[in-house]
Amino acid sequence: MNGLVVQQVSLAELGDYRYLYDPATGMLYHYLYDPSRGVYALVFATGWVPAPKLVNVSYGDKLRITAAYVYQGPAFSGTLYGAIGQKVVSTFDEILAAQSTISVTEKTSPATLQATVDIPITTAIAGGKNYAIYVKIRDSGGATKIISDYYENAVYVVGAEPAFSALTITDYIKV
Amino acid sequence: MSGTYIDITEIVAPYHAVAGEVVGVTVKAKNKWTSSVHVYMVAVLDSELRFIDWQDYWISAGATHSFTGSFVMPAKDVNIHAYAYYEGTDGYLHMDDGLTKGVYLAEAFEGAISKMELEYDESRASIPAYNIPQNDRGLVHVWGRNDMDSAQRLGIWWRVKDPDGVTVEEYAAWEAWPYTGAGSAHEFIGGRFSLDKPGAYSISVQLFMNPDAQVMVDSYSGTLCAVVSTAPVFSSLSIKDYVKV
Repeated sequence: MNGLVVQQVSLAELGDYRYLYDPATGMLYHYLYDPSRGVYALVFATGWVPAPKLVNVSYGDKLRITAAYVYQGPAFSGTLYGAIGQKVVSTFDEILAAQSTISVTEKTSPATLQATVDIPITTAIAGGKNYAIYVKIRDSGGATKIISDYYENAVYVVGAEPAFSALTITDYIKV
Repeated sequence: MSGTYIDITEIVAPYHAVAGEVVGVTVKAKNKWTSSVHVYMVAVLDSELRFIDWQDYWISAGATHSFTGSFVMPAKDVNIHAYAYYEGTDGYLHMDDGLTKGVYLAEAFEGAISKMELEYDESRASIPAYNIPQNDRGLVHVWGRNDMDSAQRLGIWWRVKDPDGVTVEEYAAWEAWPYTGAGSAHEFIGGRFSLDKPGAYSISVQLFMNPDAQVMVDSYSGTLCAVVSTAPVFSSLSIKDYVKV
């Protein structure tokens, strides 16, 4: 754990989570405080990776994220949570988010499954910029079970204001 | 007794056999001469039944050859007599060595595994058991029944393996006096072990009688229980694709 930068995140949604960022690997470790033991326990780890493509979206569109995951265990009900945001230092600053219900039957052996979540693009997010995305699975109580990598520069939001440029006189004649 | 050319060094056969049991016998003959000898072997049961019947073999100098046969154990003690002959230069067979071994009639022990149960989380289920919650502690109970006309001392052995084939419990015991009466059953209880892996646990059980020369009277080998996971386990969450819709 040498060289890790400890950051106390202030996002209320994360409750007692703390991040440990390893600049050598770019990995971000999520810890949750366990009051019974008085320690922070590692819950999951993620990291920033370059997005495989850049998708242009406009206000009124939706961004559909398809996630794949492996599951083993009893029947499970929860949500696939997806977010669009930006990288702030090493953390993910969410701007737009949505969730969809997932329901899994009991799996006695590891099963690869898929789920999708649609995130409406609203004016809450500024246009003319690139953004990052990620997804996570939460149980019915809202606790995060697993989180994906953060895809940097995955989405470009086209601005709402008309954008003119390169105005020139191409010709002029008597009519 | 020792022959001039051939020594019957051993008769390999059990000391005890129950009536009706097929008894395998091996007679080992060694050529102690300086060159090969053509040996003929005969083995007779109580001078009545020839079950190794003039088997012949050229045995090299210094070598040992095994002659094999079998008989069905009668309802009495028996003696095996083995005789080795060599073929002389005169073309005749000459008896050179002999050896005797007794096989004693064993009591036919009869018993059965009459019941098996898995105890977990203050519950019990018959083996094989299903839908056992993960992370409970397991405890095996096995009942051995004495099907003899007299009281018998029962013994047990079992081994439990987890879904990965790792042994999680091995248990062996002979019951203490007083022993199990005719038609009655004795309960054996093992030690507790963890059922911490989802999947099928297996068990092999053997029931014994007659501790002085133990005889397995019944066995079971198969599923102990199927453990189901109680904790969701997610892994490898990834964004497979994202598109504008």
